[in-house]
Amino acid sequence: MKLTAEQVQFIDTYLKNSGVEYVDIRFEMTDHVATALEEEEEGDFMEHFKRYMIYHKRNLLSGNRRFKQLAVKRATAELCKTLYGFWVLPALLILVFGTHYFFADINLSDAACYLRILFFAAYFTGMAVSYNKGKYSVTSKLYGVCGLVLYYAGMIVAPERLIPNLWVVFTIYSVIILMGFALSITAIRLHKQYKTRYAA
Amino acid sequence: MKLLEENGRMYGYEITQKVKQITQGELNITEGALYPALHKLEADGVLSVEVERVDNRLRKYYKLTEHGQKETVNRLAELEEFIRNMQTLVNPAPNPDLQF
Repeated sequence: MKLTAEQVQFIDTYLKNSGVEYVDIRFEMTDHVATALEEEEEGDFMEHFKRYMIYHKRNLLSGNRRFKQLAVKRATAELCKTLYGFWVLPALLILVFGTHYFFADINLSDAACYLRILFFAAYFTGMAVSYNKGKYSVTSKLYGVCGLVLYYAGMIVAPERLIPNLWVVFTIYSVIILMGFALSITAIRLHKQYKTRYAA
Repeated sequence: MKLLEENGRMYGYEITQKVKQITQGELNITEGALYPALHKLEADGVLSVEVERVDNRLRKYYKLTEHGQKETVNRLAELEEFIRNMQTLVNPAPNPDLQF
């Protein structure tokens, strides 16, 4: 039996509600379940669907955790790919000297506050673009794991409270801001790949 | 990987059915095992993917990359070697020098 668009949508929504949150993983599972149901001869869709889920739901969802681990690995690899770019060192130097030039004469905690705002601007630009059309596994992990590390380094540790040397503090913040930009560049690149791939 | 080498490109469900058919139902690859393995091979650059709209949904096809084709040859050779060693261990050929 051929499934209608509504029935396919029903499978997708069911999987989403069962914890398969990422679009790129869910559409493949939806196709798997839909193809399996289409193998059935005539009959009631709901009956076939319920029977299929009784036997296969555990297996379908068991791969979800593994997908997340793989996504973290790929997110890190993609971020490293961005950081190998020729622009990284010049950008870092511009940031270090630029921050020193603009903020050396003001109070260090105020300067740190401005630098954090700059980091958030870099960080959220990519997030706004990549979360625009649904959650994809690698971009989500990119922000989930790598973003958390940066947030911890810049916001929780707050280097200006531990290190009195201006140059060291500005260098640390420059690295954090640069990583924020790298995150955004990676997220936007991944988003374009996803968009091209799933535009079919 | 051997299936993909023979069939060009395949999608997940097709792979599970093909394996079932070849092994006459003896081997049943579960979804939970298949898709993470395919995604890992994709991340390693062994497989590339193509997404197409089929009927009213998207379908992801996997195919071997150039690197994947070389990797398949290597891994199959390793597997054959492993099977040969296992067979030797399970059914050792009688050694006339050790016979009484």
